Amino acid sequence: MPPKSSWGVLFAYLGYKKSDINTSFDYFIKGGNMRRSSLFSCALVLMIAMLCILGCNDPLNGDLTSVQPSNVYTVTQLISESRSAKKTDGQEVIAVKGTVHEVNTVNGRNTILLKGDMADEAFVICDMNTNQSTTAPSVKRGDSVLIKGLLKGILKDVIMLNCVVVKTE
Amino acid sequence: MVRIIAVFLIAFLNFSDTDTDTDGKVIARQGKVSFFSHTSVEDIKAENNQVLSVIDLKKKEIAVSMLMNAFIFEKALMREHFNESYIESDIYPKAVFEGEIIDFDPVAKGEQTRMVKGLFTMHGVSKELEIKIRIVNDVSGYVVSGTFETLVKDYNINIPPLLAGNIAKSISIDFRFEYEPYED
Repeated sequence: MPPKSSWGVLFAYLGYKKSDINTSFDYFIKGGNMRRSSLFSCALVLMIAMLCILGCNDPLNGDLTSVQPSNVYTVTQLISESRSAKKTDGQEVIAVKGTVHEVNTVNGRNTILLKGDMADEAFVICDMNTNQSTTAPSVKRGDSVLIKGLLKGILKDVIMLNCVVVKTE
Repeated sequence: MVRIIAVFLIAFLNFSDTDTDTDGKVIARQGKVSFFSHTSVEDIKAENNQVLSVIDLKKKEIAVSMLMNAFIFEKALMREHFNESYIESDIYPKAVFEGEIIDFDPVAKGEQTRMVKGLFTMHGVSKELEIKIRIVNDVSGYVVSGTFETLVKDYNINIPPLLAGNIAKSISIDFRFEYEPYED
């Protein structure tokens, strides 16, 4: 049985009050209306399944290989649109094509920096998905690539997470 | 002839020793900020590997900016709670720190431990912070790192009573920035 506090969290999601929880546990422990307790069990199992789906299998938290990008941008387009605050969703999967400026492993993360033809030095920083550990290092400075990832926003550079290389030229 | 060689050697040594213009600015585009919350119920940790920081070496000022939705969590549900319920990253997308590095000597090679004093803004709340930092200046450039603790309640972050046991009152924050020369 999970710790009581985990049950507390679960019941909070279910929208139950503490008194409801105690009453429901009484059904299990002391015996009561079997039909009601069965319904309660079914709801509980469904809720756990939903939480698992949300918590463990969120496609935007993992591999984006099979996720279709909502749009394809050039590096310059993406930087320009992000600066004009047109892109602030934080959960949009997009693809960007550009020239590789740098491939590095700063902070132990495979990262590809794409450059555009902006006057100032701004890049698209692609933090690669862990499944790209062999693909990312094979990409070289100067390569033309198409990379798909989760658009997070812009500081000086545009930031994309969970990136996967779609095409290299 | 000896004088010419001496002048040449001095000029060469000075040139090779100066990796960064100490009157200029340096930038870290892929700074790392991570936080850790420990309670008896669960440990929560997350890291952001695309934190931006610029140091003005002449003014001895440092600026840090990060996207709050770019933190990576172990579980998607933790990220969702962090962004939607606690930090509200759609309303407050960035956390920013601007401060001064006290007694910083940009020319000195090796390690310096200094205090940085400045204003940290997160979740719409600004707070004066004084943090001890370690600065290493070697051939690869400046590296700044440190750790500090912060209280969740200081930043107007509301945690539902049922989840209060899952999140520590005091959060430990680690940071590390590797800088390279920067032209505006």
